[in-house]
Amino acid sequence: MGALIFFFAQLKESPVAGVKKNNLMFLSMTNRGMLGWMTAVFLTGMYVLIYWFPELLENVNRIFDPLSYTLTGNPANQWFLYGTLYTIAILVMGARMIIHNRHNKYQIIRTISVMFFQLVLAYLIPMFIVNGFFFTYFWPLKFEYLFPSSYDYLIQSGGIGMFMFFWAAVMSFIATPILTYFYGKRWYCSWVCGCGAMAETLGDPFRQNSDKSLKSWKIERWMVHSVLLIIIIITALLWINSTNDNFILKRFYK
Amino acid sequence: MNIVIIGNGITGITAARNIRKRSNHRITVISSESKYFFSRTALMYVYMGHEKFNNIQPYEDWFWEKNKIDLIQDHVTYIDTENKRIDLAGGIAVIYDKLIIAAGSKSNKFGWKGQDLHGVQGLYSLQDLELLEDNTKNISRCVIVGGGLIGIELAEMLRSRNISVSMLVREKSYWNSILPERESEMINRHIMEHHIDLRLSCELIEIVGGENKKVRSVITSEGDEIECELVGLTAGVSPNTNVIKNTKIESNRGILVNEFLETNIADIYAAGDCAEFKKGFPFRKNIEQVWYTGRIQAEALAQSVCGKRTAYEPGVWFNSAKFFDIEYQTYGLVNMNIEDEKNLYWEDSSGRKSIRIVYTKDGVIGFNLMGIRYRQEVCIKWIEEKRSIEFVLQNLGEANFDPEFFKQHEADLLEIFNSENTGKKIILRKKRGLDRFLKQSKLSH
Ligand SMILES: Cc1cc2nc3c(=O)[nH]c(=O)nc-3n(C[C@H](O)[C@H](O)[C@H](O)COP(=O)(O)OP(=O)(O)OC[C@H]3O[C@@H](n4cnc5c(N)ncnc54)[C@H](O)[C@@H]3O)c2cc1C
Repeated sequence: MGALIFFFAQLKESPVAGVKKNNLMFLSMTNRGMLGWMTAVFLTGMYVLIYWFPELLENVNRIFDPLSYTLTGNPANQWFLYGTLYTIAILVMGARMIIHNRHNKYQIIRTISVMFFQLVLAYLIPMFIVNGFFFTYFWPLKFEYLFPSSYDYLIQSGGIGMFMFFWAAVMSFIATPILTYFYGKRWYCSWVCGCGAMAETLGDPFRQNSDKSLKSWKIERWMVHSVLLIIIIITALLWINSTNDNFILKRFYK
Repeated sequence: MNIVIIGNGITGITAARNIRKRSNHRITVISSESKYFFSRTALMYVYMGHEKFNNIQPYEDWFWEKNKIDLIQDHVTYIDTENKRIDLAGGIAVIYDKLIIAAGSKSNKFGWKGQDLHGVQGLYSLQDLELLEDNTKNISRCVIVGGGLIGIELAEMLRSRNISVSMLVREKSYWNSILPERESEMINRHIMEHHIDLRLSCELIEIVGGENKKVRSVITSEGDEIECELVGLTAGVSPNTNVIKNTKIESNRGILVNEFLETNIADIYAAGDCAEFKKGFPFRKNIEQVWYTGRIQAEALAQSVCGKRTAYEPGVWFNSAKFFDIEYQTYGLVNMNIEDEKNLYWEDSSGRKSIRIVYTKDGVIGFNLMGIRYRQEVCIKWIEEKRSIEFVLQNLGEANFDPEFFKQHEADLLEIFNSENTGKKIILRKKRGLDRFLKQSKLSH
């Protein structure tokens, strides 16, 4: 709330709307100063706790119990905590993004889009309708969606499962290539995706800190392409395996 | 062959890169301002904290060694044209076979009383920026002298640190030698909207000093005395010809060159801000002091130096800038009072956006845009092809380059045209959108 009030106060700060990045490089928070590092350590620490030491978060979880009972009927666990904080961050910083870019209709609509997709399709619906299925994540990002095991699981769970499997397949192999051909990767990364939503909202005041050297670009290309390759190989192997009576994995079972 | 370039601005560096692309000549770039090339037009953003200095260096430091371009940070004190040798302040001498002088500009100082006091400065170089950092520590009032691009940038920089600014502009409206009246008035309003005390038709008479030779106030042609702690002198720039002092290289205001950018001495060339064309090009100034022309000149020059003598072809004029929040683009001939020219002008009710198209009976000759982006290649093509105003208006959607979902104003402009020209009924044939998008993606794949 405090943050929101602060952002609304900026509405009055200047007579004319326009991208204002004044003094960004002088602030400790946004220029890798002490505050910036403390935030980085705090955020990374949260991930460490969530993945490896969830029991340390038990007390925090309890704060979120009322919300969790309302949405899912169960007490909060570390994943509920994570999803909730993640969504709040996007909504609050999304509001900031809109205020900052209020002269720019494209940015306003786009930010509302990522906020909507995060809140509804990546948070609420998976939470209390379809139990963990994200309509906005597709293979190869969510690679297990097209594994034979998910296929079996979804097909068995009837019509809705069938729909979800086809949704995942159509989005991955038909919609994504077509949309990307016309609009570039931005249609997904900065309009739909939860990771992009984080980068374009909470990440916005920090984007100037990204490494723009040729070297980092090379490393990035090697990384994304090798991950893609590995996912393709694994998915293909799993399918070959499943249609041929486990002939690849059989020998590992013994 | 040994090629030496004086100046590592956009001109010198474009020449070096293009010579390297075409040859294996030895290339040495000498500059005293900074070791590595940086974008002068982005200096303001360092002061305003948008970027750090290394962010406005377009190439990473390893680039120069990899491309075998030797860099020397030193000041050239003398060019010995007889022995093809240049002397550096650091004591060494460098031999050249061909020499390119791309020494840029320096800020104008018109001999005002008090112009050398502490706290009086121009804004051109990296050193000026560093000085500005020092000069603006804990100050609250500044006077800027001169209403041009650099003056308004300096005003924006100072406002970002909450320093109050008075701006003295000699003309009766901001930058009206370049901007047509309506656009110039738009910027006047915008400057005042940013809480700047804009004084039009007002000249600097004298800068008054106080203790320790520090500036205390300025006196204007209206007889006012304005207290201030900094005076920004931004009344234009002129070619930096210091380097050719005591040589036989001819100069007027700038270093004189022909259309091949050759000086009067064989194997010595000059280009960019410091060069002056002996015989100008139609509708162009003899000295061109903008980023893009420096680059285009250097590209032609690189070919000549590598053996293919190539004249500089200015092409259709274009430029762009930003006045606080209002972006500005211009193409072709605008505000030049061409015979029989007509102007079609639309301005948004917000008073912060406008479109102007200049045309004659032979076709469209210029575009001027405030707060709206058009595609450079489309505007230039229409001007080159001398397209009629009717054709341009019908296809105007093709030129629009604003982000998606922005309000498109082309139809408003057509309406004005139709109402001003009774009997004409031009209809906007192409809006930007999927239609154009499909065509384009076909072209680019
Ligand atoms: C604040 C500012 C904003 C601007 N904004 C715009 C804009 O928006 N659009 C636009 O088109 N243009 C703009 N310009 C103009 C544009 O930057 C110049 O036209 C362009 O940089 C000139 O390039 P150049 O390579 O010819 O000269 P420069 O960039 O001036 O480079 C010349 C170099 O030579 C060095 N040098 C000179 N003499 C010697 C010597 N004797 N020994 C060693 N080195 C020497 C100088 O130190 C300098 O580094 C702007 C200029 C300024 C100052």
